[in-house]
Order: sequence, then C-alpha cells, then structure tokens
Amino acid sequence: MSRIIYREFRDEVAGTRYPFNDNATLRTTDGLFDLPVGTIVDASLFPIGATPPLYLSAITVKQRTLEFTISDFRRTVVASGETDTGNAADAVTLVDAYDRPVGVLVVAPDVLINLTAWPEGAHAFAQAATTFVPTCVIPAPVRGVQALVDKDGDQLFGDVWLVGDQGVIFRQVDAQTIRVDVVGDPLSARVLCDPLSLFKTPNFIRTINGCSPDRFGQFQLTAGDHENPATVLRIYPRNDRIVVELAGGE
Amino acid sequence: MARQAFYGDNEHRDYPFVTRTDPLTFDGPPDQLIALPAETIVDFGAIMFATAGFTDYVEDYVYLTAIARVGEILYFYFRTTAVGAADHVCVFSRNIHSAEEFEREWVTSGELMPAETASGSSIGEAAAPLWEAFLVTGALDAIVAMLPSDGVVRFAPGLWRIEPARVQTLAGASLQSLSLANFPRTHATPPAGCGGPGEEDSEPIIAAIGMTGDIRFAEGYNAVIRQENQNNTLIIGAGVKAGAGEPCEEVPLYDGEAPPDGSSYLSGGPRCDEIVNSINGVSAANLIIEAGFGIAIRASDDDPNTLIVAADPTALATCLLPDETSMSSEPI
Repeated sequence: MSRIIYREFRDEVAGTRYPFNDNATLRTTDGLFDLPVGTIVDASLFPIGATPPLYLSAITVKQRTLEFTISDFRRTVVASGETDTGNAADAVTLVDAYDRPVGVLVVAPDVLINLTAWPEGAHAFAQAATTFVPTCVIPAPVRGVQALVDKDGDQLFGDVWLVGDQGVIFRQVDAQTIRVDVVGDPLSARVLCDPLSLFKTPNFIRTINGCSPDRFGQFQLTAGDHENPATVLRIYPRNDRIVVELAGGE
Repeated sequence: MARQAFYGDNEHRDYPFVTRTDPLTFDGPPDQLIALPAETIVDFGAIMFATAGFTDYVEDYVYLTAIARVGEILYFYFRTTAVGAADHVCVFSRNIHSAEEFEREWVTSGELMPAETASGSSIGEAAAPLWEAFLVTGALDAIVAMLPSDGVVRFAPGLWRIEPARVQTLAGASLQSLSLANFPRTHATPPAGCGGPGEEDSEPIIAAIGMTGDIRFAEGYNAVIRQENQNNTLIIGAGVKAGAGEPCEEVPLYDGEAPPDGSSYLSGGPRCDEIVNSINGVSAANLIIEAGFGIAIRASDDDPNTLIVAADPTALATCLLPDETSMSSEPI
C-alpha cells in the first residue's frame, strides 16, 4: 500500500493535537463536547504581558460567528477572535482588550464548520484541556509605554503626535522634555464664528485730528484751553453720549 | 526550535508556504504562475513592526514575489500586503556555490525602488525598516536550473504566501516616539477694504520630531500636570498663574516667529494705545456726539471721516414776538 511520506504541513498536523499539547483532552468543562482534532492546525500567540502557558478558554457559538477566547496561566482573558461561519477564512486574527492584534489561529474551515452544531453560547475549556504548545506562544513583554489612551479610551501608539491648539503650546525644552504652556488665544472669539467669514473685523478709530489716545485708549475732548477758563463751550458725557453745547442755553 | 528533520521534511512540501487548495485569481502573465521547487525554502519567519500596519491575518500576509540571479548570487524578494509596508521588501541573498545547507539569514526591510531590478541594490536604504524576517534555504540546484544565467523569476502576488503563524505583528504594541506640533495662532485680519494677507495657513507647525527615551512633561505658563501612578495617568490641566506663572510676553510657537507688519503682537492687530477706546470716558461701538444748545454738528461733505462741530448762531438769535415789537400808542 502506498504511503505518503511527506505530507503538507497542515495535513500532517491535522491528525495531531498540535498546536495544543499532546496530552490535551480538547474536551469542554461540562464534558459534553470535544473540539475536533484538526480544527485549529496552527497558532501564533503574542499577547502583551500575558503569563504563559496560554490556553483556549472558550469557544462561543453565535448565530453567524464563532468566537475563540484565549486565557493565560492566571486565567485572565488575553485575546479573542471571531470568524464568520458562513464564509470562514483559514486564519482568525486574535486581538486583546485594546483591539491590538496579538496572535492568529490557523483553522481548517471544513472542520471548523462542525462547531456550528454546538448549541449557541459559550463553551468553556479547562486549562489542561487546551493548553497551547510553548512554540506557539511568544508573549510580548510589558516594557516602556505601550500607548497613550485618552479619556474616551482611544489609543495612540507607534509614532504619536501631540498637537497644541487654541492657546495650548507644546515645546521641546531639551531632548526628552516637553513643556506645556497654556497661554490662551486673544482672538478666540473670532474662531467661534461658523462660518469664519461671519466675523467682520471692526475698523477702529486710531486718531482724532491726528491725535492718538493715551496708553489706555482714552481720548479727551476738552473745551477751550486752560488759559481761558471762562469759555461758554461745554463738553460732557450724558447717557452714554458726548454732549457739546454752549452754556446758558435753555 | 527547528529540528534538522523539520527542515528535511520541508524540502518535500510547501511549508513555510501555504498549500493552495483553490486556484489563484490572477490576471497577470501566466508565466508568473509557476511552481517553486519545494527544497529551495525550508523555513521563514517575520516580525512586522508597529508602523507596518499588519493588523488582520485574513487581509495581510507575506509572500514571495521574485527570485533573481546576478552572477553567482541568488536574491529572494519577499513582500507584504500590509498597507503600511506595501512598498517595503526583505531581500535575502545566497551564493550558489558557497551556500550552506539550511543556511539562515536575518534581514530588515527596505523601501522598494520604483523599478525592481535583479540587483540587491534596488532597495533603498534611507527609510526605516518596517519589518524583519529570517530565511532558511535548502538545496538550490532546482532554482539554479530555473535561472541558468542572470535573470528574474517573478511569482504572482499571493501565489507563494507564507503561513500566517510564521508572522508576528507588533501593531499597537508600543509607543515608539512623540512628535510635537502646534496649530497656528489666530491672527487678526484687516478690516474690509483695508487689504492685507489672504487666508491663513491652517497646517500645524512642527516643533519636534521623534522624541524617544525617558520623556518628561514640564509645566509651562498656567499649566498644571498631575501624575497618578496607580492609574498610569498624566493629567494636564490649566490654571491661572499655575506652573511657570503668567507669561509677561507672548509665547512664540516657533523660533523666529515675528509679529506681522504694522503690529507689535504675534497675533497681529493694534495695541490698546493705538486705537480710541473711549472719548471722555464714554465707550460705544457707535458713539454719538450730541449737539447741545448753540452747537451744530454735521458730517463733512468732503471728507467722510470728519465731523464738523461749529457754533450755531441761529440758536443765539432772539426774535421779538409781534406784540413785543409794536410801540405803545399812548404817551408815556
């Protein structure tokens, strides 16, 4: 009888428990279901800060999808990934709580489809039942700052820009110091106009008869001059107006 | 850890490439749908750096794109579909005469020049690498037979796709650098009819690029920075006179920032002592100078910016009423 000596990689591992330990039972904790050998044919897991060993802690059957949950030695969920059962690909991207890619499960779609026969809901596995072999697990160390997270939970990672606006200024003081100045925007009222063209710059009076105001912008209209204190000309404010008149009138 | 037998097995199968079970959809030249001798490549692994954009193992993958020969050197070109690294390639080289069995090599990616040539020098060296990889080659006889002299064998994209589990991605794994910029300040615009600069530039002004290492934030003017270690939180706030206090002068956004022409402020516009804010203590957008008794005020007919304030003699005239003007007919 002929025998295939060299099988393709996926075909070879499909008959083994790889990427799980050889002694993995692949049985759910309730004892009702077994993960068919060859459903998952390869894996690469690199969650940040996880404590190995890692194991497949649950498969959740939904109406149109299957969700795989990966947990670590502390039973902390470190990754999860979903695949569409109607159009399953051969790879399931695993992401962590921050939606960062932290691994992949290579699956056999034609075997995976058998899981749709399981009742809807989460099917849990014990750690010993589905522990991944160490060669598939490369946890990324928690080193340094991984990301900036704003108050809304949005993450910024990689090469991040800090941009000052509306009176906030970022400056580099030295190679590793960022200075934050809050100086405001003197013309902030203008940018409140929407559209911006609604703001009309006023045309200020700069001089009156060639005379400038004082340093406070005040201008004085005075009757006569100080050599003639008996002038009949009167200039005075009244009700937010400037009144110019001759004394002695009705 | 790879076993010798592992490499030996891989010389007889597609691994580390995915065995295709479905035909590849390809509209290009049919000579690119060619088989790669199984013994040529026996192992491969890649790490995608944070900015490579490799985030989805269904859409993103690494593939062998070409093998070229220049003299005695074979060059193996690998590319990726990751959107951020699509123009980066990892190139490995082997001397067909001196390459060892299962020779291993690690390389980092380089930017692919517009014209991919058979020479390794087609890779740009200026761009920072976006991914790195290792290659283990087996027997090269079969590929040398495909390339008996200088030439290139090109493979359809995705035909020789690396197994997904051979690729690790570091997308989102770290904050690599901080760069600083500031949006331009709001500038005063001239009044209608006074001319002046057109639309303002709204692009941020770069202050620093690629700060790395142990970064610290310092409180500047009116700034308050609070660190909460238990929450890994930095709270940056504002408070009058906080931090470095209130500035005595305007803070420039960049070295050399200067006021626009005709102004002493970086944001432009007049100073307080350059405009009339009030007259005799009265301030209004439309100030009224009212003519009282004996005074007439009018706008000049010749100069719209001129008010003429003059005595009004008609107010001073005293006209006798008719009964006051007639003399009495009776003798005094």
